[in-house]
Amino acid sequence: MFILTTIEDLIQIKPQDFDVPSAQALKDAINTKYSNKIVQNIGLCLCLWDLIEASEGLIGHGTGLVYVNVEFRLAVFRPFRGEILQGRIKSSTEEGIVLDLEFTSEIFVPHHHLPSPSTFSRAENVWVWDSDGTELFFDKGEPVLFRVEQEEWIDQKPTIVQKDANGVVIEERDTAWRIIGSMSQSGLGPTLWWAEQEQEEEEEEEEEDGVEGDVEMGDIDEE
Amino acid sequence: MHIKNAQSALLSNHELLIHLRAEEAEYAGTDGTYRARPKPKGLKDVLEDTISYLSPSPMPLSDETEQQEDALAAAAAAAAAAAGPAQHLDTLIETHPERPMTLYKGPHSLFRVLAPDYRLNKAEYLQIYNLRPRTVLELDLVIEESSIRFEEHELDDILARINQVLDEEEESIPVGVENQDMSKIANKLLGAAKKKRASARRKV
Repeated sequence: MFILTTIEDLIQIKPQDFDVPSAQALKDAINTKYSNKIVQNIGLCLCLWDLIEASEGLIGHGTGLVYVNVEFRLAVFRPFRGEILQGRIKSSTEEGIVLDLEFTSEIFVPHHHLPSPSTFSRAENVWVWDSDGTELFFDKGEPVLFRVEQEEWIDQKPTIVQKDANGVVIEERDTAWRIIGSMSQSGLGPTLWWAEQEQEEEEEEEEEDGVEGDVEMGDIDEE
Repeated sequence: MHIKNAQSALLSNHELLIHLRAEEAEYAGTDGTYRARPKPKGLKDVLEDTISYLSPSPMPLSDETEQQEDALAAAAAAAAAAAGPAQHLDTLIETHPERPMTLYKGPHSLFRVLAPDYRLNKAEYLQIYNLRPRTVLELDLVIEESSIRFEEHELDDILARINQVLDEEEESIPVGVENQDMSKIANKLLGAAKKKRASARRKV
C-alpha cells in the first residue's frame, strides 16, 4: 500500500536554518512541505525516504533564502487496484460505509460493493448482511478487510477565501482523493466473521477425522 | 516541482514501519544523539497515525478469576484476530532486528523460497508480506484465481513456506547472504515485462 516516488523540487532554506547541517535542513523543509498532503496522481505523501541529490544553494534577490534543487524519494500511500487492506468501520449511511485507516479516512464502500443481501438498519445506523438466515452486522469500529476497487481524484480549484464574523478563515474543501473499496468477496468484511468460521470448520474437521478413521482422501472417487 | 518517477519502488508495511520508527526516534532525540527537534505539523500527525495503524496496541487484559479463563482466552483470540494482519509486523521486527533485508533479498527471502515452484506476481508477494495469510481463505483473497492456478495441497504448501520464512529467526541466517548475487530466475515473476537489452544490462 506504500510506494516510493522520486521528485525533484526547488527547496528554500531559511537563514534561521543555516547553522543546521544542510541534509537536516532540507529534510525538515521537505517534510514541512509534503507530509500529510495529497499530491495529484501521486497519492498521500507521508515523509521523506531519502535524498538522492542536491545542488549547490543559490541566494535569490531580496530575501536571504537559499534555493536548492533537490532530488529525493518520498514515501507515499497509494494502494493499487485489487489490493487487500485492513481498516476499521468509521460510520455508515444509506449510501455505504466509510472506512478509517488511522492516517486517512477517505475510503468509501458503496452499498453495491457489500455482500448481496445487505440492508441498512436505520435504527442502529449499521449495514446488516443476511447470510443464509444469519444476520451479520457491520458494526462501528470493527476491523475489516476490504479490496481497493478504484480511486477518485477530485480537482481542487482555488476558491475565494471566506472568512466568518471573527475574521477566521473558513476551510471548506472536499477531499482531493477518495478510494472506493469493496467487501463483497468471501474473506472480506469484519475479520471476526471469518475467524469464527475457521474455528467452526476446524471443529467439524476434527469430528470428521474421528468418524472416518483410516479412510484416505485419495481413496474417494471424486468424479 | 517535477515528478521524476511516480512509482520508483513498492514498500512493504514492515519496511515503512522501520523507517517511520527511525524518523520518530530521530526527531524525538531517542536515537542516541539526544538532539530532539520539533516536528513539522503534518509529519507529527503522519508519524503518530501511521505508526499506530501499523503496530496496534494489544487490548488490555483486565483482572479475571480462574473461572473466567476461557472467556479470557476467547477475548485474547478475538483481540489477535481483531488486531489482525498488522500485529505480525512486530513479530517480524523481533525476529529480524538487525538485518531486515534478509526477508526480502537472498536465499532466505520469500521470493527465493516460493519462486522455484510457484509463479506469483509482485503484487501477491507484497500482499503476503503485508497481510500474512494464515488460512487458505485469506490466501485466496491475495492470489488471484488461486483455485485455477494451484491445487489445494499446493496452497497448503505455500502457506507452510510463508510461515517458515516469516517465523525464521535472524540468527539462523548466515551473515551477508542477503547481499550475495543470486542466480537469476528467468521470468518467474508473473507479469514480469521483457526488458530491453540496454536497460537489462544497466546495474543498479
